[in-house]
This record gives sequence, structure tokens and C-alpha cells, in this order.
Amino acid sequence: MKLTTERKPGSILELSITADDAEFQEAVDSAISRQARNVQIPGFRKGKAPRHMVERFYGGREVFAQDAAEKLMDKLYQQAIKDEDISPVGDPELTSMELEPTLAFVVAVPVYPEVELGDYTAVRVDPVDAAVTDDDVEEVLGRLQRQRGTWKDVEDRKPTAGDQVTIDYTVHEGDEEFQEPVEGAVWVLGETNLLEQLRERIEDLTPGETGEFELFFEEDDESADPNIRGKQLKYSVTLQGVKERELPELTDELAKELADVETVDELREQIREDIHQGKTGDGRNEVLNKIIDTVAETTTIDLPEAMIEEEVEHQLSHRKEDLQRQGISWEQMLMFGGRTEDEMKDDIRPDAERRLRNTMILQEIAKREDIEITDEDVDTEIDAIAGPDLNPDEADAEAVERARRMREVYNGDYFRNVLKNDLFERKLTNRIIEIATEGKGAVLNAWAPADEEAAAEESAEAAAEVADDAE
Amino acid sequence: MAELRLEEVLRRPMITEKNTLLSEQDKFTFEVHPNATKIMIKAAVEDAFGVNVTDVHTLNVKPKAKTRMIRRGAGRIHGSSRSVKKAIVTLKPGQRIDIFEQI
Repeated sequence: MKLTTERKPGSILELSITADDAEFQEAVDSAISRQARNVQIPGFRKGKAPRHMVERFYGGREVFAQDAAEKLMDKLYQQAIKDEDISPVGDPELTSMELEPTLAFVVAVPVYPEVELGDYTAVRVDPVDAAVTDDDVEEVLGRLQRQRGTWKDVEDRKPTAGDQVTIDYTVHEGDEEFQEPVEGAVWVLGETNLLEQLRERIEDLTPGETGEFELFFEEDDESADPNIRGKQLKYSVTLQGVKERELPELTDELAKELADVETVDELREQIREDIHQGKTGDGRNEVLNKIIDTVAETTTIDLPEAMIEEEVEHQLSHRKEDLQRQGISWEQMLMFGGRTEDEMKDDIRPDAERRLRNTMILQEIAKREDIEITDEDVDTEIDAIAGPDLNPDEADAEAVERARRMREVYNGDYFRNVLKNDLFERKLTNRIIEIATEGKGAVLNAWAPADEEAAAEESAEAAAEVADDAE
Repeated sequence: MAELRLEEVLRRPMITEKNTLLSEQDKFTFEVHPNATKIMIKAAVEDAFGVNVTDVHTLNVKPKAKTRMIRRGAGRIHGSSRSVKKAIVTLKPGQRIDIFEQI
């Protein structure tokens, strides 16, 4: 076998393979023998005719060359892959083949692309401040209060933002009824998604009053439904009633109802903690994404088509699963969106490509930074999650048993693997962030668990979930 | 009985599994004219293929009765396959006859 390789754009490796003459003849011989086992020639029992007769029966050796070539190509291709240490990421494609004077063929095989990584060490990103202001806390508190609000009738007043209105209305286009008349619709001005023009008119009515007006919706009015754009519609709206929101007083009792804490101050503290935790996580992701995006700008990866397609398929099947869980069939979804599966694939494609690139960038950085997770690292992590070994003499039997079983779960292959991936990602992203922020960390004023135990408990919970999923 | 002409003696080579095996012993089988004699066969083979015949065996294959049904239940037709005279010709060791190797 003679082999030459050539790299083509799109991370396609072209293998030109020429079989040795002897190799090819041998393949032809075996092709004939294969055929001879099944051939029926008059005067002979099936499969008993001598080889030279079989050859002549079919009209010569050349007839078997094609058959032989197929087998031999497969074998030579496998050998080439092994010899050259190629790891294909897709199916090879035969681009040309010759049988004379001997078998020579060219296959194009997609391979893992070269990642020409941009200078990730030069990327600088400012940390995000995760400090929580009093305003943040009050805003959340206000939202909670509003959720608990009650509605009280008001008379002789035009409704304003934040009021709840009860409305009867009809819509006509010319003399035709445009939609069924609606009675007793309840909207909260400024919170329910209403047409801006309609809302203005409603705010102009006093309770009990009926307003008639015509509204025209521009063709390019994004806020209007597509089916009413460009239409002149006649509305007849009766304001049945207006209610005003009454917020509950912020008391210790309310705090207890809302979050099972003793005082309003404690509630504030808890809200602050929640926001802080959220901001810290979001901030870290934001910084990380910014870094990866920046590196991606200067990185060239010649993604082979096969990999992109695979990723698209992968994501598509994920979406299908998601839909199935919601009880919607894929066909319904396609019909509803008015799109074909191929169009969906085109939609997914840019995202799939971006994800692939980012994953490869991360992998490449991991390689350059020598980031690896050893079994000992995993052991340490398990110790951290499962807590120290309990002394059977001091702890009660149940606790000891529970601890032992926890350890057993963590030490399973599946969970160890999950942990390893987890640790790897954490170590890698930490390193990347460290470089890009010059050691300042992704988040300033980051949230940290109040005590070790709580953190361990949390990750233990997450672990238990993973273990459940695995079963 | 009219004398057979030499070219009427040999009818066709018989190439079968069994005969192919015999060819390893320099024996080749022909279907021959029913009236052909061993001497005539020897002469005919030597003349046609330019080989030396050392021995000739002949045998008559008797016709086999063949019965065939016609028109479901309407009756049967009796008949027989044709009779064949075979000749197994032994050549001088190492000699071959081309037509046995190229149908």
C-alpha cells in the first residue's frame, strides 16, 4: 500500500491510497473464491465448479475487480487510519477510484480540526462587582409585597398604572365583528401585556363610562399581533370597575409567611444573601463568557462539516426530548412554528457551531495549561463532600451507616466520573479567569458560603440528585 | 451400414464435475455418435486435437423413462430421454485438450 495525505480546508484529510499489485490480485482471487461458493454451473453441483470455470463463466477476472476493490478499500482505509494515527470525526467519502493498472482510490475523511488558539493569556477582563445595594433588596422586597397585595374598589377616579381594571369590550373592523365580544376581562395596567394605544384610552375613562374609538396599527408595529397590523379597528370599551392595590404592611408576621424567618430584618438579610449568590454566579459566567468570546475572536478553527452536523443533530434531539417532556410532539411544534425540520436545523446551526468552537477552545487551553484531574483529586473532593469518617464509638450507628452509604454512592464509577468532569471544569475556568483578571477573580465582593458545612451540604444534595438521575 | 465420416464421430465434450476430476488422470469424456467404434473415436480425437490416445472406453447411457402430467387430471404423457453414447478417452500423460478448459 502506498499512501499520501493532503489536508484540505474544512478539516478534511484526503488520503490517496494505491494498493500493491500483489495485494490487489489476492483480493480479486478471494473475491472469485467468495463467488465460487454460490455459483451453479450446469454439470456441477452448486459451489463445486473449479475456480477457472467460475472466472470464465462470468467473463473473466475483471468482473471481480469491483467486488474485490470494495473489500480491499475498506481494509486499506482502516490500515491507513491506523498507520497515520488519524482519528476521523465523521464518515469517509470516496472521491475517486481506479482499478487499472491496480486499485487506486482517494477518500476524504473529516478529522479533528487544528485549533489555532488566539493568545488567551493576553485577554484582560474587568471583574464584575457582585455587591448588593439596598435598592436591590428593596426592589425584591417590593415585588414580594405586591404579590401579597390585595385589591380594593375605588370610585370616581380614572385608572392609572398599577390599577386593576375590569373591562367589557367589542372590536369591529368596519361593520364586521372582528372578534368575539369580551366581558369582564381583568387587566392590571402596566403589568398585563396590553396594546399601548388601548391602555391610553382606558386610562381616560371613568368607572362606568363607555368609550368608542378607532385605532390604527402600523404595518411595522412590533407590539401588535401580526393579524391586526395595518388595520383600522373600532373599539367599544366599557370600564366596569377600577381597583387599587393595597400593599400589606411589612411586618414580622409577613416576613414569617414569606420566608419562614422571624423578623423583617432577617428577611432583608436573606433576600440580600439570595441576590448576592445569584449575582456572584451570574457575574462569574458573564466574565467567563466574555473571556471565551474574546479568545474566540482571534482563534481559527476550521470545523469540519461532519462535526457541525453531528452537533446540530445532537441539539435537535435535545430539543425534541424537552418538548416530549412538556407533552408536545415534534410534529405539532413544527406545524405551530410553520417550519420544516431542515429550517430548524439551519436555525440551530450558528449556535451549534459556536458551542463547538467554545468547547474546543476550552479543551485547547486545558491542554496548554496542563490542567488535569487525578484520582487523588477526586478522592479529596469526595472527602470534602461526604465529610470525615465518623468514629463508630462516638457517633450513633445510624449516622455511621448513612455516611458509609454516601461514600459508596460517591465512589461509584459514574459518580466519580461526574465529579472528575466537574472538577476539571472548575479548575480550568478558575485558571482562565485568573489569567484574564490578573488574579483579581471574576467577581468582586463575591458571595461565599457562610460556613463550610452548609456548602458541603449543598453539594451533597446536588450529588444525591445526580445519583438519583443516574438510577 | 454406411461408413461414418470422421467428423461425425465426436459430438461434444462433456464437462461435468466428475469428468473434471477425471481430467487429472488424463481422461477426457466426449459424447459420440451411437455407432462410433473405439477405433474410430481414437482416430477422430487424434485427428481433431493433435494428441496421442492410449485408451478408449465407451458406454451407452440408456434412455430414462419420463412421465409428465398434462392438464390437471386429464392424463399423462409417457416418453423417454434420449440415449447417449459416451467415450472416455485416455491421453498420453501430460497432454491436454483445450476445449475442456474453455467453454
